[in-house]
Amino acid sequence: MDSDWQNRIDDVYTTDDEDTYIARIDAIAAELPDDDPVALFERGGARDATGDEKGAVAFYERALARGLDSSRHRQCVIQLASSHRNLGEPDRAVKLLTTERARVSDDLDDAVVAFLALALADLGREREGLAMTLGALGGHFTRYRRSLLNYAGELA
Amino acid sequence: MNTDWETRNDEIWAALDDHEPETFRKLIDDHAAELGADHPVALFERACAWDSTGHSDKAVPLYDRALALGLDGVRRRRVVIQMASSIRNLGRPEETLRLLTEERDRSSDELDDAIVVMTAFALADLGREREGLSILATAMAAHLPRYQRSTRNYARLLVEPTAS
Repeated sequence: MDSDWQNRIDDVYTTDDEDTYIARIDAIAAELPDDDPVALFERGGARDATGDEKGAVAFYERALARGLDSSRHRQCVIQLASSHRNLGEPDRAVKLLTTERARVSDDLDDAVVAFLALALADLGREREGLAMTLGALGGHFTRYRRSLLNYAGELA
Repeated sequence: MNTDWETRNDEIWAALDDHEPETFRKLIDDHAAELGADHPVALFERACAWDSTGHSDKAVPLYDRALALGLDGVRRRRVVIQMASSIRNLGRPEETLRLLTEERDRSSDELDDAIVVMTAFALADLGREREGLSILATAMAAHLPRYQRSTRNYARLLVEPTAS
């Protein structure tokens, strides 16, 4: 896989022709070996983008089992968790994202928190989700950071 | 009020943790006095000094006067946020919510997220955590390198489960 391959994958989504997403992504993925984790991840993404959550879950799980680089691993976990949530299994989403949150820190930290908070809300744990999101959003503050963190501490 | 005054003001504030509360308030009071007792910025800074040293109750009347005397720009918005926060600390989250909702509709600037956060706290006080989380996640979406659209969409669905 090279950047040209990834660019062609990304280009598929710049068109509105959703009905063709899966076929087109699968065709590009087929250039790589069947069990290539990045290819599996992208095939999952194509199903996700077209509303086939179950299909997405199967590919995402295979991709994770095969082993992805750290950034794609994180994207895959977020997307898998979101699919679980949409399939009515927020507890699985919470488990995956809690593990992922502790694994590394990168530019998708806030996304992990956002999706974790949404899954917590599904489980009736809105207050936890709220406190967590407050903390993450506060990281972008130049003013009121201290009072925000104090108040967030009181909430949790 | 000139640049020197603002610079000195920033310096005093930067040293907030270096002083006892009373000493800090005296520094701010003396500095504010240079503008005159009824200058809205002077009233604002004195209110902030009370607020930041744990005396929201003393801050609120000064904020009120500053607004009445005509405060503009970022300081005006900061008054609304800080007054809303003080009122929340006094146990009146409904009032906080009303003030902030008006302010959200009124204008938009770099303090938008601060308004969202304070609104979320007030909603949580009222047992409306789900709404609070929804507005927070929406605000968070703007900071994400990916998943902006889906985060916004799911955030909205938290409070509008029937929409799609």
